[in-house]
Amino acid sequence: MTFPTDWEAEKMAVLDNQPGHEAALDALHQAANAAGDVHGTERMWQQMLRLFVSNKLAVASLVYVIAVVLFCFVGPFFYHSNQTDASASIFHVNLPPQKGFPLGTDYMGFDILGRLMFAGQSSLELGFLAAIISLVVGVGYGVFSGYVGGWIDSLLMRFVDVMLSIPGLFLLLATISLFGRSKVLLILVLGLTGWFGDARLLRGEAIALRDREFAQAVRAMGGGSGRIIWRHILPNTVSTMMTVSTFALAGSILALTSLGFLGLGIPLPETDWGTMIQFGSDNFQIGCWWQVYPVCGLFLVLIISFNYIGDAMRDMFEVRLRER
Amino acid sequence: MTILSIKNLRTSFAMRAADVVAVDGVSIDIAAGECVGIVGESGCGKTTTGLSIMRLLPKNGQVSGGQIFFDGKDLATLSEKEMRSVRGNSIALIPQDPMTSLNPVMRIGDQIAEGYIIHRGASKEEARQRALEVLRMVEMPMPEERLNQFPHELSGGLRQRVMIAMALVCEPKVLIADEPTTALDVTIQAQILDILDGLREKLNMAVILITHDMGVIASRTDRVVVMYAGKVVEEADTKTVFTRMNHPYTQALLASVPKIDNITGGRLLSIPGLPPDLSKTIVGCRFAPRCTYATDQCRTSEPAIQDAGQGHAFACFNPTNGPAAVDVQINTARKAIDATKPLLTVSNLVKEFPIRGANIFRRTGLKVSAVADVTFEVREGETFGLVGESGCGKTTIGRLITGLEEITSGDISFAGTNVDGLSKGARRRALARNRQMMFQDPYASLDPRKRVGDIIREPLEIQKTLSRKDMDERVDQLLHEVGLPLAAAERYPHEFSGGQRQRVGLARSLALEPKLVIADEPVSALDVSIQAQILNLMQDLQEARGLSYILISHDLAVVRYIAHRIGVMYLGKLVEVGPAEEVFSAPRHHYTQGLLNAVPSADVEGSRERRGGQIQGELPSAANPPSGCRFRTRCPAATDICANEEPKMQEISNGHTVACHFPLEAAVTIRSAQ
Amino acid sequence: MMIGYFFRRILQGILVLIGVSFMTFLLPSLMGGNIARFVLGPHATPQALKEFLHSHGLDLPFYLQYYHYMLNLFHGNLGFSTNPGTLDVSVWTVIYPYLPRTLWLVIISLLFSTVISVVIGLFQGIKRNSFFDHSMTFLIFLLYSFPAFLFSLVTIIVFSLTLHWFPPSIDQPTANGFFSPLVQMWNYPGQFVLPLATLTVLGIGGLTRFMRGSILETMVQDYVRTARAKGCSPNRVLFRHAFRNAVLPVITILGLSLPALFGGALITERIFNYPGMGQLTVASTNVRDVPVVMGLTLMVTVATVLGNLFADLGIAIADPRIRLTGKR
Repeated sequence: MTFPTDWEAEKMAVLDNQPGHEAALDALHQAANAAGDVHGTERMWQQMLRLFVSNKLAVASLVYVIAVVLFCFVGPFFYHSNQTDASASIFHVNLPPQKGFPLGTDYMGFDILGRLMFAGQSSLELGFLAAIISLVVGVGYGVFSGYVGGWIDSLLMRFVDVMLSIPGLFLLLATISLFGRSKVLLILVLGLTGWFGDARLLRGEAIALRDREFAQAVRAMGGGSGRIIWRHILPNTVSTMMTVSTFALAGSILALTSLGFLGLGIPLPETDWGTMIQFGSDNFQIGCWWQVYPVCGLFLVLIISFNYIGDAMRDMFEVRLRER
Repeated sequence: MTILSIKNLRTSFAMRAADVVAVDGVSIDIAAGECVGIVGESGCGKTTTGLSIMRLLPKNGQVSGGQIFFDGKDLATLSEKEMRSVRGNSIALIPQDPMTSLNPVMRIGDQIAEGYIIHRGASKEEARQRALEVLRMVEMPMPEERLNQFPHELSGGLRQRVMIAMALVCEPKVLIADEPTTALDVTIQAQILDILDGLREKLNMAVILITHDMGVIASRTDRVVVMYAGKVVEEADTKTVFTRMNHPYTQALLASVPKIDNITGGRLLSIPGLPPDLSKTIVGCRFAPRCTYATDQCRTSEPAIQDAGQGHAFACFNPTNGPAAVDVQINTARKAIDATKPLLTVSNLVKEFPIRGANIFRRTGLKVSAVADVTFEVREGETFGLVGESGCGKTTIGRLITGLEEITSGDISFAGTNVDGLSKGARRRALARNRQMMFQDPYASLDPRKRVGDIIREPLEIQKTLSRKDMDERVDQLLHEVGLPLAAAERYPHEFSGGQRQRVGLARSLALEPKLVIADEPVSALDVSIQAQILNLMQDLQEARGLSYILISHDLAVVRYIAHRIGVMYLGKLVEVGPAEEVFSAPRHHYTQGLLNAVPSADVEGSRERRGGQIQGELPSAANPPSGCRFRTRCPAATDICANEEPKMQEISNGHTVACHFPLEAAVTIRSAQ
Repeated sequence: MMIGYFFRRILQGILVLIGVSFMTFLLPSLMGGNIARFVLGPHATPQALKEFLHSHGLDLPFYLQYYHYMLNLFHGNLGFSTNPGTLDVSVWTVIYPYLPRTLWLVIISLLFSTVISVVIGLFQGIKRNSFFDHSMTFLIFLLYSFPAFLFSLVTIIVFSLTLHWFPPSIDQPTANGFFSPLVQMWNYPGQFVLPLATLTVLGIGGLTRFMRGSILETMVQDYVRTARAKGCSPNRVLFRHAFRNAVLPVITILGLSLPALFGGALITERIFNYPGMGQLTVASTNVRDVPVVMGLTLMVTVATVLGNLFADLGIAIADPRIRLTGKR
């Protein structure tokens, strides 16, 4: 969970701490100064890509995320295991790693390695869909509120204040206690409770951009609000949106896993990483370490990777902002 | 007696790409009680020189060569601890922006007293007494109360007085004033500079006045050092620099400054090109690429600084002698204007902004009266200058005319345009076709994600009056007209310099071929040499297209240079309107006169004498403007009637109106001729 | 002026609370008549359902229901539990014993994390780009990314199951007073080390990053240069001029970090088996005891809003700009 207001202050915090960045930053500065014949934005994107690539840890993080996605979705084609038939699995409960079960089995006898993929699919799917919902709602709400301004903005933002004062997990639990938890409901609940911070951030950007002289110029030349929002404000928030969406994805996967850990994850026969961790940790005391370590490690590194990618993107765009 | 002696100072900044040598071999001697001006455009190294003396450079900067002798010691070699006993004690600094230079959470008295406690070991009470004393020295109104106030309770002008008081608390021998008045309005600037002048004499301090403003240099300094791209190019006493300069850069710089008491209508000299990139190695004279006198010698070897006697030195192979000749032939074009047909009529315009409380449930009911009952007209083919200090409402008027703000009451009508009965969008488009806006900030006014061609094309796309092919042609033609290569259309704004971006902005505002362009401070973000390019371009386009401009500016010299008629605003009111020449030579309103007096002229001869009084005090709040005449609180001629009755606009001579109960006499010259 | 600011700020807080209470009213009412079916079970007769709705005022028009809800709220009546174990016990009676436990966990860990963050952030800011700074930044980044449940799990595995330094859970409290959690902490500090550490670390992640950024930003301000130009020593510049300005925005962040902290407390309580608001929320969610969950949500939000209010008032006292003009 990030604080909405530390955006500004953090840019220095991270920027100054990656010595490996320097060379790439150089290139970017020079590119911005020199007036070449190449198209500016294409070069900008190339430069940013190079900046990102120069950040070894960020690349490693991205590779890891891709690897996890492939593992979950492509893995089952190569590694077959029973994940649904509880009556068949009942004969090998809580087995340690051994031939046939490289990572052992869980309390219901399902193979852990296959379970990681199986649970990962739903965790990633749900996280992804929820992040999209929260991004769309958050961006739409924030940009609209900021652009319109006045009392409508005050009202809309008071609502965001209200929702931000309710601790996220409590809000999640409250809605789940009301509506129950199916896969679709979980997506909706996660998506619709996760966008308040994004809305506030995007609102700030929209206000700043709306008051910039180039937006004023459009108004002075007879352009309407639609043009200002679609052609000028939204394209200028793309960088923010990319960063926000990375954190949103991490956030919704994390929230889902927390729910699972609290025993409120995706109901059986499906499962998710959080639920796996919950049952694993219950069995840890009887020595079933293999039910905890793999899934925790996989998940933890995934969250760290997402955060690192988000940070790296934020740096990249900060540099670009300074070149404006 | 030389008190501070800089020898071959070299300061470099470690940038990511390369080391930038911001100051390269600068030598300056400063005598006690003397005021030395360092002048140059942005990036010339003048501020860095000042900070190098104080050793207050940013972390990536360092003095990499040379000596700074002060009091028998080389400041460049002192330990940090020894240096601390110099800072604020014998050398003090007045920074540029008083709004950000005071600690917001510390009382003013404590901030001033701090230096005295550190350097003199004074007790708290002694330091407080001393703080009070220096506040009196800087003529701070109500000094006792100020001690306990916080910075946000003071206006910019008063804060700068606090900064000066803070610098003076230990009676330093050298005072470095880095653009001390740039952030202030011109009437406040005059007050601050007067205080500095007086204190310099009284305390026999040496003052290093760093500024880009030739007017301030001309009126306040004894000696001038002209810097260009990190080097001193010329140094002499002030009069010599202005009348018998030897360096082409000095000559060009002066010729590109619009002068307030110049004959209206001359063409400004502009310096082509941009200053060099200091991160690269430069061969030859640094000014050579922009110099009209440059020869092959200039391009291959660097001229050393040479002594011309009487303290005059310069670095040039082909020295000039005196100011550039005035180009007279352009004057004719301006006379040809037949400005009688009104194009835009503004009548009884009022704009009030409600002051809102912290949330929607608390309306204060207070209003800021930004524009109060303003009436004027703009004629076809003329430039109407709107001048006044910050907060006078001039920008709001511009925004009202372009429809960026809603009118509270009053009327703006445009000749030959009837927008009644049109839908909101259609009305906006119709208005946009005859009036366009040129913005102040060349960095903020162009969308960084759009190509220049698309930026210029956008108004055409909104209006949908041209075919795609015609649009392309129009864009090419506009680029050509504003002096940009056609290839610029494919580039992005960040690839251009400030002046070039302002050209793009002008091209965009002309795309719809409007009859009126409202230019809000179009050159105030640019250096003088670039300023001249844009102003000349604006004039050329006016001639070619028969355009009208409303030029909104705080810079009276710029307005004088380009405007045919002028309106002077004060606190939301138009106080005087008239032909430019007349308003400048024979102002009728006391405010106009005070404003003109406050502007330092970039001309040594004229600037030392004053034609009359100076405006005292601070600008009242627009949320609670004075009754009657809004200027009365600062007016030397104010009487009871001014408080009770609001003066009406009255015509004093042909086309010259003024709102004052006691207008000034017509020009002194006329009376003496009788 | 400050009175005016306080007043406005308190009013704002009340508005937020009214908004939240509206949400806690609105959400259950979205379920409409289903709630009766849910409470009475699938075999209830239509007559019984109708009576249930009538006796709970659920057949009234929407605005009247809200009116009654608010009226009850003002009398401290949050409704009645639908949990079979505590059926028809008033929500307040059910949740009251749990409130102080969570509250004290959060307050104490917030104190720890504030002190630690300010000190680390300050040193990082001064010794910028040093080895200390880099290693701290990396460490803080890891902590920042560590989900609360994983962190607690790791601490239990390491410090309790492997090293046996601290117990893996907290004893069930025996007293229900407001200060009894403090008494319990005083008597059995070992049991609280791991949960408090988890919550503290949760706060440190964000706060330190913010503090470091804030001090760096402050050190390049013009007024810091002014202080140096006066001849102030580095320590004087830092503590007399930069520190206060840098810490002010951190106070706001403290308030804003409360929701995340309460969320963290929910998970920590669950792991360490401590009967606080979080554990009650999870338990009640499992049996879909809606009134209790809503009551808890309302209470935790009241705590957050109060926290934010205190933070803002703290800033108002510390920052003369707000103290004197009511705005920044």
